[in-house]
Amino acid sequence: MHDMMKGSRTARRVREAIIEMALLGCGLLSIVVTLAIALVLIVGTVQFFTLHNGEAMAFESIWDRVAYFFVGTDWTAAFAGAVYGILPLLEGTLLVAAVAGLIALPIGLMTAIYLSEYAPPRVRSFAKPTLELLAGIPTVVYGFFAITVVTPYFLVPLFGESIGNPNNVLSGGIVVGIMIIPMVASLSEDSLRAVPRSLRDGAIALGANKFETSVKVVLPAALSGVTASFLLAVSRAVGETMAVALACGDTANWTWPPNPAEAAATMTSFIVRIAKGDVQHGTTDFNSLFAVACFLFFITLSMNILAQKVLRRYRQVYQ
Amino acid sequence: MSAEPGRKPPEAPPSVTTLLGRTLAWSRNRTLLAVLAYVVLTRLGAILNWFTPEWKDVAITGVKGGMALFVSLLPARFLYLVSTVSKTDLEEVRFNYGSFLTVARWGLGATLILASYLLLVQLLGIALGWFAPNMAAVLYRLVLLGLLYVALLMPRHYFLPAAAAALFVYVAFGAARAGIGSDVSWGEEFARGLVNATFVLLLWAGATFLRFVMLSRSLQDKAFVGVGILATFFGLFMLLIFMWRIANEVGEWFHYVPQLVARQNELTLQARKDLQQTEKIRKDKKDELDRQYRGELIRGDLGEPLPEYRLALERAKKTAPPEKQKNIAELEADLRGADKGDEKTRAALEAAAKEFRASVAELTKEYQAKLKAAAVEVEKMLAAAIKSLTAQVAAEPDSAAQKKLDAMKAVHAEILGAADPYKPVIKHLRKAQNFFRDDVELEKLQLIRVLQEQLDTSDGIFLNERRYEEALAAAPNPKVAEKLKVIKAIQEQFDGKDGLYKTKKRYEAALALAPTNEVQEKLANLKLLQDLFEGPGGVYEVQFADLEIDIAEKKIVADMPLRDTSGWGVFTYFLTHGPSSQPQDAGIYPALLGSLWVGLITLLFAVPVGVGAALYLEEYKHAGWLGKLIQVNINNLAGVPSVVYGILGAFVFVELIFKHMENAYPNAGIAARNVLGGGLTLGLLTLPVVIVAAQEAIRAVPSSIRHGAYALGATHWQVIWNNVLPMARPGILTGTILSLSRAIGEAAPLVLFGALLFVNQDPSLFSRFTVMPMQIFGWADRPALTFDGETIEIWRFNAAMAIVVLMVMLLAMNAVAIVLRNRAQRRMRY
Repeated sequence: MHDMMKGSRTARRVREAIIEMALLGCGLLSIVVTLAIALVLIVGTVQFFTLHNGEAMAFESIWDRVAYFFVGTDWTAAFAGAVYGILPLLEGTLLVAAVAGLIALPIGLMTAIYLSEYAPPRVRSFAKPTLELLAGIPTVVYGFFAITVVTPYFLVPLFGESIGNPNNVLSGGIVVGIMIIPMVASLSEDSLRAVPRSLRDGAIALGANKFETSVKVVLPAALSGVTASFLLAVSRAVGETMAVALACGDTANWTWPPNPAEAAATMTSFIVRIAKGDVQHGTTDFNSLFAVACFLFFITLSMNILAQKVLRRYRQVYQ
Repeated sequence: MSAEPGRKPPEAPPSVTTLLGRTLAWSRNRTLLAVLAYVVLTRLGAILNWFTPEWKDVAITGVKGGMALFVSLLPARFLYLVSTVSKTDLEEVRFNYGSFLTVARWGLGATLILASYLLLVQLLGIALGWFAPNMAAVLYRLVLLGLLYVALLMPRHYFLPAAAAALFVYVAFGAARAGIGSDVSWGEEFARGLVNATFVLLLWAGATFLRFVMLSRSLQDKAFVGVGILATFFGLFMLLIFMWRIANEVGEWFHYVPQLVARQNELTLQARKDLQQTEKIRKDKKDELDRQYRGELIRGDLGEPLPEYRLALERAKKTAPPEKQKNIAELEADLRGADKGDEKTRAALEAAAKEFRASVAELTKEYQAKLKAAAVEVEKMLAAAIKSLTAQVAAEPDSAAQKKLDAMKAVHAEILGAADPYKPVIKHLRKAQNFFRDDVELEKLQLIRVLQEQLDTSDGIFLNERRYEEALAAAPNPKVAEKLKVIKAIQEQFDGKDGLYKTKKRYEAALALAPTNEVQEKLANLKLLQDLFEGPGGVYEVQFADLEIDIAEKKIVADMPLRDTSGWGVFTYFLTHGPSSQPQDAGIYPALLGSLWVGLITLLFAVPVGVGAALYLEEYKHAGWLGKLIQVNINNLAGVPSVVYGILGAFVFVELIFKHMENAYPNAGIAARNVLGGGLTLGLLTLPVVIVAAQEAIRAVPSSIRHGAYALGATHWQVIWNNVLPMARPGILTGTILSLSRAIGEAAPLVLFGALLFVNQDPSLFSRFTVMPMQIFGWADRPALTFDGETIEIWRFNAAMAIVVLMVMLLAMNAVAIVLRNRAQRRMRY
């Protein structure tokens, strides 16, 4: 401590400046990481669309390929004359996210309302760590949960043989839903608790009971925070990988109308399949990974940005 | 609020027609609800599974089902009104537990409702051709919906009885199904029943909640507390189910793995036994071949090496340089041993030969007697032949006949003149053959001749064996057989360890000391012979090829160490060994170490950088737009899917850095996808989380602390380093450890990074690696194996074990975090 006091004023200033530069470097690293991610994904995607190392391509023109990527309903990587249309993967991803949302949003929201408005401190002190415990379980364990518990012990007894066993989208969605409950609950609870007490008092003074206060006054007041939590949770469900890779299988098939009882690949499980398989680096099949990841990245990024925007609005209202 | 028209309590029990009217009135408002509920609930399976592809079918079914439900609702409502006839409004209905009659009526009503419901829905199902392939599943659903339906009708005080009933029905149903002879075990049915009963209760609670909300504001809060608690502990409930399942699978692991290990031990023991046998067979065969080889050596006239060798040695002794004298002395000692062996053998052979000669003499005598008799006969026959030929020549003179007669007379005279009459017979055997052709006699003579010839021409003892055999074959003789045995035994001795088999070595030694043409030649001969046996494609190789393969195969199994089959034994094996293609041999040691390594690197990278960034954002507020940009960016980075980080890591660390290092320094032991790169990838992943946690901790430090320090003249950094950071340490620590446990549980980025599933080496900083979640992922995906007709999800059990280890690791880390935080907090009480 003493040696830090030593030295002339200029030396000290220089030292301070160096330290600040170093800390700024730490902060800038995150921007570098973002740029690097975007760069890697975009370069890979461009390669995917433009390069084909002598492989037979279904479409000659690059623009046809790009167009098919967004509207095509067939994803036949690893076959001769492969076509790459993202829709089957997108369908799987959205199905998982929808099922997860159906599970996590009501339960998470109810939990948040209960914890912020009703629960006595003792219950709260017990419930929060429990929820955090759920958040701390590795995702691959959730995948294991899906194939060893959810499918055989919940879905098969309920739906009989028609459910895909062991791989189906429903079980993946359910476990992802359980996984994101803590996220919805804690973020929503934070925003519910941030609602000023005066609003609650006013409602009660007008003769509303607690339920009406919570649902009709506090919840609308905290709606932006709750919405942000929903968005963040769904974005997490979209980007979730290992649980989905284990539970949902990795066959990309386009079924319309969507059927959650079947196995289907999601964008993430497809990426994992390509990465762990024997696909050679630099082939179009391998490069398709970048295109899918890029798509995924922009979906989750836009959801996150949207969530931040919504959140900022709510902050502006009550601070 | 209530859907029912407010009524005053009737003075007297109303008539049946009144009740029917009320029932209809009540049901009017519920028809739509009933239809909707039916559509949603009964067709849930259909909608999800796409039993019937057309929507219109679903709609038709729904309407028809709703009608059926409505119809079945009427008697139910009627019964309900009968049972609670003295009460006025639904929300004030009180069940009179004291009244047995009421209870009975309730029970009867519920049963009737259930029965009518089941019947109607069943009939409807048949009518519409809606039959799931699995009848039991249909029944399950029907029972479930029936209970839900009953629950909808019951007043709230029936909640617990109904819950109990639901539990009972399911457990009983499961038991009955198991009893009928279902292929699932009772315990599994019970568990399934419990799960389903819980599901019913959840539905029940939902239905009751709706009903309460519908009915009464005063109940809303209470209802919501129930629902809130249910929602809050839903996760815990799932966790418990999962723990139960994991415990189950771990139990199965402890059940099956020792069995498999025992099985493998048995196989190993069997293989060891087999191997011993096969090796014995090989040894016998080799001995036999060796013997043959030695025999060849001897027969190849190489049996007299010793004198020459001795000569060479003597010569060498005189001429060899001093440093070689030691070798010569050794060789001499060797030779002495050999001499001794040889002398002994030679003496034995001499004795045997003596006896052999004696026996041959005996044989000779015997054959001589035979020959004599034969010769006398020949003489007689010859005399007879001469007589007849003389008469023939006298009758008609012929020069050729005369010549033959003369020859016969000459031989005859010789025979008569000789002391041993057979000698001329043998001598003129060929001629005699012309005289007469008695095959039997001739053959005998011939054999005797051969024997005698051999005896006369050679006394080479090494050929005796064959001769005796020939003699034995010609005329079986017990004495000869005995002799043969003796000689064979002696020869064996001669071929033994000190015998001529060693000759080659000696030749080589002699050649090295004093090269001579003779020795060279003999050595070449020996080598030729040796190649014939031991060289590539030689006798040994050909004869042992199959055996060697067999032995090598058995050796693999036999060399496996026998394992401890106790529960503790297999568990410690699991913890201390690497992956294997055999599920019972697989362990998690490399994955465990890999996780620790990667976690350490993540920590070392993410904490300094993350805290640095957090400090910059919180303590250098003058950063302005740059700080804001970084902040927004960090918030967005936290939401980037982990696979994307994996792609980044694979590109930056593998493709850009370590692949080049691997190629540039191929011997440095740097793998392209190494621990360092994996740890840094996870470090990037956890960085935003660490930054946010650190920011919160730093923000929580009261600004009075900072102001105080500034007032004392501290610089900005001194304030941060000496005051802010120590106070923020508990929060930073907690956030760090939580994010670290997330990193350790993360597998997706490392799959993308290219960490391998099958790593059998202990990881180091630059080596290939695997981590626990990857290991679990690899195992959970593998299909079941069949052992003795029993299909076991043995890999899945392995995964469950690994999950237990991983969870224990994470819990331990969290516990450490809590302890550290508490200690830090205790020290930091301001």
